[in-house]
Amino acid sequence: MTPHLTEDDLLLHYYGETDPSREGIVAAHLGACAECRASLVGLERLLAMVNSGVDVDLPQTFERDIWRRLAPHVVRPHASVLWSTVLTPRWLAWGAAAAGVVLAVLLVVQLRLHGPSPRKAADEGPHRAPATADVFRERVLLADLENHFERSEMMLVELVNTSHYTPAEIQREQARAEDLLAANRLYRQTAANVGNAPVAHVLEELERLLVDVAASSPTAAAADLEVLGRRTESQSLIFKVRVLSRSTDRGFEGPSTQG
Amino acid sequence: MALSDAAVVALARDGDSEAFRALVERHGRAVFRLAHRMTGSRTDAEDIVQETFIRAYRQLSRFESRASFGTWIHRIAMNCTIDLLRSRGSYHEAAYDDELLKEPSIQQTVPRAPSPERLILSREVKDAVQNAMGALSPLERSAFVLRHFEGRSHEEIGEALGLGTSATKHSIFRAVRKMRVVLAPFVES
Ligand SMILES: [Zn+2]
Repeated sequence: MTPHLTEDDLLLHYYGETDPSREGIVAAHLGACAECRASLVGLERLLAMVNSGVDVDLPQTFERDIWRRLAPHVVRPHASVLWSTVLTPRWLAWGAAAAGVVLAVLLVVQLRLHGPSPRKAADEGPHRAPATADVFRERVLLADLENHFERSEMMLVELVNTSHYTPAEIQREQARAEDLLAANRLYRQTAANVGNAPVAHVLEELERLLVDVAASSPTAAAADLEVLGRRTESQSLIFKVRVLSRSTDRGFEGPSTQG
Repeated sequence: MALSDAAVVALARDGDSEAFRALVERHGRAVFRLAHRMTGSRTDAEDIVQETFIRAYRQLSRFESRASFGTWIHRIAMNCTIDLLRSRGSYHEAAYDDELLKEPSIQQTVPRAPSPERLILSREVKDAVQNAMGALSPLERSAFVLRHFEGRSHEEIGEALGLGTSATKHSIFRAVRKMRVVLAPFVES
C-alpha cells in the first residue's frame, strides 16, 4: 500500500483539486486504508462544523439599519444636478479646509489678544503713543471677531455632525450662512483697512466657504463632510478647535483692559 | 412577480433610489456574511457593507446587465474587505502564534470539549468556530473563506490576495490545520 495520505492530500481530495496525475493513487489508497478514510471523515466533520458555526445571527431590522446608513450617501433628494455634480467635489475640498480655517482664525485671534505684538509692545514703551482710531477699530474688530468665529464654528460643527436635513433646515442653514457672510465681509474689509493682513486672509478663506454654504445644498455637503470627517480625522481637528475655543474664552479679557 | 436584478439595476441606474434600496435589501445579508466570514468582526462587516454598496452605486453604469448582480456585488465586497485588511497592516500576522501548529501543549489551552448535550446548542458551536477562525491570520482566513465558502479557484484567490498559487494553497492548508487543532476536542466528542 502507498504511504498514508497527508492532511493536505485529504483537503485537496475534499475540494476535488487533486492533481490529475495523483487522482488514481489517492482513490486507491482511500479504498484500501481505513485510517485515511477515518481522517477524511474527520475533515468532513470539521468543515461541516465550520459551516454551521461561522455566521452570526442578524436582527430582522438588518436591511433597514443598513439602508439608514447608506441613504445619505446614495440619495440626494433635494440637490439639483448642478449642486450634485459641481458643488460636491468642491465641498470635499472645502470640508477639509473648513476646520483648518476655523483653527487658523482662532490662532490669529489668540495671538492678537494674548501674544506679544509689535503694536502692543510700542504702546507699553516709554514713548507711549495715544490710541489711534485704527488701533481702536482693530480692538473692536478682534472682540467682535471672536463672536463671529464662534457662530461660524457652530455652523461647521453642525454641518459635520448632521447627516440629514429637512427642506426647512436647509433654508435655515442657508439663511444662517448668509448672515455670517454679510458680517464676514465687514470684518474682512475692516481687517484689511487697519492693515491686519493675517486676519484679513483667514476671513477671506472663511468667506469663500460661507458663500458655498449659502448657495449650495447642506444635505449633499453634510453627507460628504460626514465621510470626510471619518477619513481625514477632521473631527479631531474640530475637537482641537473646541479646546482652543474654551482656552480663548477663559483667557479673553476684552479690549478695555489694555487701554 | 418581483423584478429581476437586471431590471432593478436599470431603474437604479436611472436614479431611482427605491430600486437601489431593493438591491441593498436583496443582497445586503450575503455581503455582510462574506465580510464577516473574512474579518470576524461585526463592526468591520457593517462598514464593508456600507462601503461595498457606495462603490456599487458609483459604478452602476459599469455593471453589465448580462452578468449576475450578486456575483458582481460579491466581487466588490471581496475587494473592499481585502482593502480594509491590507490597510490594517497586519495582513500576515496570526491572531495566535503559528507555534500553534507545532506546540503539543496547545491542547491544554484550547477550551475543553463541552458535553454532547451542550454541543446541541448552536451557540456553543458558533463560539468554538469563531474562536478557531480567530486563530487564523487575516491572510489565511481570507484564503480559506474564498476557497471554502466562495468556491474560488487557487488562481483567483492568489490574484485577489496578491499571492502565488502555491502560497495560496499553503495559506488554505495552514488555515484548516489550525482550525483542526482548535476544534479537535469538539469534532471528536
Ligand atoms: Zn492511509
